[in-house]
Amino acid sequence: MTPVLVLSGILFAIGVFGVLTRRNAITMLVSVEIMMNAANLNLVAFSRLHEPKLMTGQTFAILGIGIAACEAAVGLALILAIYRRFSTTDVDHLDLLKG
Amino acid sequence: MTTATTVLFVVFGVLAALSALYAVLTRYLLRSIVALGAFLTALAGIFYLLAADFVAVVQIFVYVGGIVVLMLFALMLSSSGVRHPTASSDRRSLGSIVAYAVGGMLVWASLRSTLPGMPAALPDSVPYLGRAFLNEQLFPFELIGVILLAAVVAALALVRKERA
Repeated sequence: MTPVLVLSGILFAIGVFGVLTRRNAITMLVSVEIMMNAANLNLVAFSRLHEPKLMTGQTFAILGIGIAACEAAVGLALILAIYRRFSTTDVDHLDLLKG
Repeated sequence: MTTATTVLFVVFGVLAALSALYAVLTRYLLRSIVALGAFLTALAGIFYLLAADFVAVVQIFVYVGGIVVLMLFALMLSSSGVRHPTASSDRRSLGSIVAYAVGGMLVWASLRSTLPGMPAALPDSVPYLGRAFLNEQLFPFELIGVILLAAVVAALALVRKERA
């Protein structure tokens, strides 16, 4: 059990590092997907530990994958719309609301 | 866990961590997305080792077959695969401090916890999964269909060409 949790923690930290340091919107989305998958790994691991016949963790993981698909679709559509208007996907250049 | 499972877990785990690190660190957007695909495939292997076969298959179908391809299309439509500048060094050090803190905390907590070892897996997990989705989890299961529809409509509305 513990090795799975350790791996999940390391992967989550890699995702946090990516979101904080990368400035490209698509790479930030990649980092968010890494973090979501680290969470899914925990859900699947604990599903085997607690009430394996109820499958609560695995159903949560599958629903989470579905939510991630929605998030990626809407996020990439937003990135495309932003690129059409500003010709960049660098989030540092999107400062229209800055006074 | 048997020896083979342990060895495979270590192999897939190292593969997942390395490809995630590469996806985050590389300066090329295309390589980042391909590394994400490798990471997701390695994680599907770990799901399979944890006796979650169906989740592993869904992971391959939805993530590797869907989201990674979607990202590649977004990359093709928005910019060529040229290098993109990474963050300045001050933000980089701040990011690594926060990442080390979060990761260290998570790893420390999981090493300190006294969890029991992995119990034996169910011989066949898919029938239980189907029963759970059509009984206890029926409402979220139906709800995710509505959310998917809303996401598709929203994505179409966002990228639609505005008629001048």
